[in-house]
Order: sequence, then C-alpha cells, then structure tokens
Amino acid sequence: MTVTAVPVQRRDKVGWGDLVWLTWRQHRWSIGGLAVLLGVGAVVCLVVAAVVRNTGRVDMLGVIGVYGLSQLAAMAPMGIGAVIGVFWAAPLVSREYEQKTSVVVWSQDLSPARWTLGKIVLLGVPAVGLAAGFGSSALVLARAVNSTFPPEWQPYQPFQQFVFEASPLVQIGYAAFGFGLGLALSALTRRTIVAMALTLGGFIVARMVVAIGWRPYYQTPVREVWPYGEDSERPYGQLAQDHGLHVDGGYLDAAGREVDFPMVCARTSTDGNSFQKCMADHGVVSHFTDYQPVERAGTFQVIEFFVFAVPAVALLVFAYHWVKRSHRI
Amino acid sequence: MEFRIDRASGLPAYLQLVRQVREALRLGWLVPGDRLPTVRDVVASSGVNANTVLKAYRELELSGLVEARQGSGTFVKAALGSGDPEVMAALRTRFAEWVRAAREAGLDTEDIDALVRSVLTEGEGEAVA
Amino acid sequence: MTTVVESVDTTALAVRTQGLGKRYRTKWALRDCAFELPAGRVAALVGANGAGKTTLMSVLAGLLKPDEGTAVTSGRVAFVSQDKPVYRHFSAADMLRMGARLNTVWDQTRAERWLERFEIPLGKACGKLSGGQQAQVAFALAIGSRPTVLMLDEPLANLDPLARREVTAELLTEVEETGMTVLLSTHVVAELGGVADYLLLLAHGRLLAGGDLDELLARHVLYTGPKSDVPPALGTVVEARHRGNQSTFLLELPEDQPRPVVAGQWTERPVTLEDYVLAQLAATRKGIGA
Repeated sequence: MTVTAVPVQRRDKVGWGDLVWLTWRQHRWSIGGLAVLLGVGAVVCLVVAAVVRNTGRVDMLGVIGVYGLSQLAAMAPMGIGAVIGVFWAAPLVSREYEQKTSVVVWSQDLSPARWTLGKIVLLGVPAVGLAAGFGSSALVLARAVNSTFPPEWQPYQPFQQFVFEASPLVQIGYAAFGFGLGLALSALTRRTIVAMALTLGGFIVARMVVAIGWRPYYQTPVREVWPYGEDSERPYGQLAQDHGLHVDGGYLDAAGREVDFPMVCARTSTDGNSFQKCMADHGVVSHFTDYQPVERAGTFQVIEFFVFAVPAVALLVFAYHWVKRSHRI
Repeated sequence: MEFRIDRASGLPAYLQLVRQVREALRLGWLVPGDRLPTVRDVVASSGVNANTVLKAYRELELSGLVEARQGSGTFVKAALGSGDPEVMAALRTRFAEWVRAAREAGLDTEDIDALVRSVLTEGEGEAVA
Repeated sequence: MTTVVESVDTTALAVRTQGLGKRYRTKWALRDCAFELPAGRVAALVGANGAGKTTLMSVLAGLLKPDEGTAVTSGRVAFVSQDKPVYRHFSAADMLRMGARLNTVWDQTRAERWLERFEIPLGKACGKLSGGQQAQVAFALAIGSRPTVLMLDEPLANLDPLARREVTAELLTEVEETGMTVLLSTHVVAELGGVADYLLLLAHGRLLAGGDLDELLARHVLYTGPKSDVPPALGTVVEARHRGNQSTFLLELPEDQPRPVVAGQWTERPVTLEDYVLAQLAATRKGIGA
C-alpha cells in the first residue's frame, strides 16, 4: 500500500446521499428551472389569494386582472405533467445512452438497477411534489376568487375541467404518469428527441381520451327524466345550478328507450304544435338528461388519480426492468 | 541504465531486457556492486510491464549475474566472463576481416546475419547433442 | 478484496468465464467463451473488429447480461469503453467527485496525479476539453476507483503517439503499484510487446487461444526454406505459405520437448506476437487449425 496525501476512502456501499448528489449535479438546471417557475407562480397565487380574501375585491392587477390570473393559474396544472414527462423523464436514460455515459456511470460501484431506482425516486418525488404544490396554490386562488361571488355565481366549480384537474391528488397522478411515460419511452427508444416527441404526443392523447371518453362514465350517471312538453328548459337550468357534469341528453319513448331525434319533424313542422305532434307521432314522450352530480367530484378525482397512477407505476416498473435487463449497450 | 524494447523484434521483451543487462556487463557499463534500476523505474521509463521486468531480473538472478537484496534492490553480483581483453580484440579483428571478405563476395548485411545465425544454430545443436 | 471465490484453485484468478455466450437477436457476438485470467496480469484481448472484444468486456463489467454461461470476476471491476465518455457538463473535478461518490473505494490522490501528469485542467467543463483530454479524465476516474480488475477497450485509440507511450508507461506504473489485473483490448498488436504478458485471442466470438504470452510465443517457430509440403520439424502447423520455390511454416511445437534442430536450407526465426496473431486469425478464416 502506497502512502498517499489523501487517504484512500473506503465505504460499505454507495448511499442515497451520493445518488442525491449525482442527480442534483446532472439535473440541477431542469429541476431548478421548473421549481423556480412553479414556486414563483405558487407564491404569486397565494399572495393574490390572501389579498383577495382580505379585501374582497378582484378588480386589481390591471388588464389581466385577478380573474385572468386565476384562470391562468388554474390552467397551468394541465401542462405540468407533460413538462415533467417531456423535459425531465424523456431525456433521462436516452441521453446517457446517446452520449455513452451510461457505460461510465454503471461501471462504477452502482448497478443500472440501483441507478434507475435512484433517478425514479429522486426525480419522481420532486416532480409529483411540484405538481401537487402548484395545483394546490392555484386552487387556493380559485377559492379566494369564488369567495367574492354569491354561491350560485361562483366562477370555479368542481367539475370544471381545470378546477377538477388542479386538485393535488389528480396532479400527482398526471405528473407520475408523465414521468413514467417519458422514462419508459426513453429506455425503449434510446433517442432523446424521439422519446420527447412521443411522450408529448402520448401524454396529450391519454389525457384527452380520459377526459372526454372515460371521465364522464366513472360512475353510472344520474338520469333525470321529465315529460316532453312546454317546460323543457327546466332541467338544464337546474343542472347548471347544481354544477354537475353533463354527460348525455335526449328523448325517450313510452318504454323508456332512447329515441333518436326525428329530423323529419324539424324539416316538416310549420309551427310549435305540429312539431310537438310530429314528435309524439315518432314516439317521443319524455326528455332525459344524464349527469354526474357535483357531490361526486371528490370521488371522481380519486378515480382519475388511479386511472393515471396505476399505468404510471406499470410504466415505471417496465422502465426499471428494461434498463436493468441490459440486453445491449 | 535505460532499457529499450524493440516491439518488432521476435525476441520476448523479458529476454530483450536480459540481453541489455548482459551487454552492459560485457561492455563494462555495469560492474559488480552496481544497483539495477528498480522495477518501478523501469516500468515508468520504458513502458514495460512489471511482470516482464521481474521475469528478466529473475532470469539474471538464476544465471548468477545479479542478486536481489531484501528491501534494497537488485545488485550486480558478477562480471560477465568476457575473457581476456587481448583475446577479445583478436577475435574482433578476425571477425571484421571475415565480414569484409563476405562483403567482397557480394553478401549484404542480411545475408551475413542469416549465415551467422545458421552457424550459431548448428553450434547450439551440437551443444544439445 | 477478492470476493467471489469458488475453490482454492481460483483464488489467484482475476477473471474466469465458462461457456460464456451473448447474442444480439439471432447473431452470436460471443460464444462458448471459456478462459481464466490469473490475478496481477496485464492481458491483451486481441481480435479483428467485430470479434466480440467489446461484448466480452461489457459482460465482464456487468453492463450486459450474458445469454449463456457464467463470468466471475474477483473484486471490483472498472471499465473504460472505447469512446472514453465523460459527462460534458461536468468538469474534470466533478468527474472525480462522482468517482468518489459512486465507488466504495476511492483514491483521490491517484486520480488527481493522473490528471496532473497529463496537464488536464480541473475546472473546465469536459465538453470543452479535447478528445485526448477527455480520455485522460476517463482514465483518471478508472484509476481512482482502485479496481481489482481494470478493463480498457482500445485504450490507445485516438491518442497521439507520444500520449500512447506515456499512457502505457503510466498505466503499467499504476499496475506495478497497486497490483491490479488489467485486461485491455486492441487490434494494434505491434504495440503490445513488453506491455502485455498474457494473451486472449478472439475470433468470431470465440476464444482461439489464451495464455502466458512468452510461453505461447516460445512454443512457436517460424521456418523458411525450400518449397515443401511438410514442415521441417514435428508440430502443429498453424500456418503454411508457399511462394514460388519457398515455403514458410508457422509451427506450434509439441509441449515439454526440447527445441528441434533443423539443419540444411531451413532457417528458423522466433515468432513475433504479430506473426502469431495474424497466422491464427488467417487460419480461422481458412478453416485450418482451431
């Protein structure tokens, strides 16, 4: 053993602290950038919310206005998951492969599996944390704005898309999903640009399909039926006041089966009476409206969380094993 | 002393080192009591594998030319019996004459080398038999 | 430090593989690879491009999972791949910090000494260093981790002639001081004399020959003489060439027998590593020998 100036350092294993150092050193700009952006945004939301609550006024902040700001804040959470997926996760493994640094980092006393697990935890936790934190702040501002209106005129309602989606729980689901999708595509394609593009596309498609095609049916909608006649506008008005989620609406026959709107009546009828008669002739006896009552919003957010969190976990497990499998360099 | 390795030579590197030490002994550059460079020095200066240097030193030790002294290095023990200087000089003169004759007969350096080598090989054969 | 020891015989082994195979889809990059590398050796892994050198090293480094067979390495392994990659945004000092963080053993002095020796600025981002300088950073990282087995894939590629010599000398000095085992791949056989003392010869994913370099070469002789179908001595013909009225044989002599004496018009010449490797590789192509 040679005598050296700095003694040779010996340890039992590479710890989490070391992984934290590596992760921060490698990703400090992207972590820091998003954290500062969302942090500043969150602080602005909270400050404005406090001012609104104390003054009861929303006519500040010039052209944009508090209302504009609150809308902006409420919409931002829609993109956080995508940003995390595209900019944090998609380049994570692929860039290492592209620059061949995977060979360097995995040939230290750190296995690919441990490295991947480390990155998932050390980037994934801040990712969902930032998303949840910002979502909460946006909601605080939205509630503050709501508090300046009478209950039936409050602008932000639970089932409204961006209010629904800003919920911290839902935000965690989106962020985790974006992260998992990005990482899986990163490991699979090994091309940063390709992984980023596919992540963006995949995330948007998944979010749209769920929001439009699945969310309204998480639970069987409540059906409200009323006789076809003059009073036809009431239920819609009722629904609007309830702030539920409209799912479907139409006509029913005497047996309660759905009837397609008889187009012929619209074309042939000359006045209200003949129209109603035509409708009756085609078997229309009642209207219906399917909707999700506003009380279900909380349950729906939990369901939405699982709809994204479960695939997120599956994607992360896949990415972990795919990297660990190391079938080629 | 500094060692050189001729990588194109067919001679194994450790034998090249042995040969260079023997040459140095024969030419009087090294005399009994001199210390050979340490293995580390040879490695650093000549880009030779430490095992190669060790092997060469062990070979020299086996032939009784050097001895390893615990902890202080490898030292020259014996001079290489190059014989009487006068005899050496006479042999050299005769060999030079022979080379001149060979050149006059139209042999170039390679031819001479091949000839000397084949004679030496025959000699070795006799020695073995 | 030696961790995996299967029996008493293997204590002095640095690397041992048995029936090792790795394939990419249907093509085998490495097949039936079995060898033992004694500890403390500087072994040259030689073979044509695509012979499976990088694959073998990657498997031994734990970066690739073999499809069949086993590979056991004693202690810790460091691997410097051919591209000698570094993190472009890290400075050389950061790379060493990473080495200290990600290794259970770290020798900062040794790593710094290597960078000093090659005058690599510590504070500059690696992306702004030249290719040769980046290679030195990669070497320093590997040296600093004090491996039991150091694997270098084409370590001298992309280095200028002076740097090649200096890196070789420094590397061998490190080997002498630390007693580590080195496995280095190359296809420039001419540079191996005196550097490597052990040879592993790969062709088409299979191991052709392996063993102590001097012993291997001492067992082979090159005979040149008049045209003949048979060599002038007993032994296995590795390569036979016939040009005009002259024949050349590269012969592997039988073990444990004195060197035969060949008289007459035959001349014998010791075999250089290059002769040996080229003959072996040519033989596999023609389907003779191995």
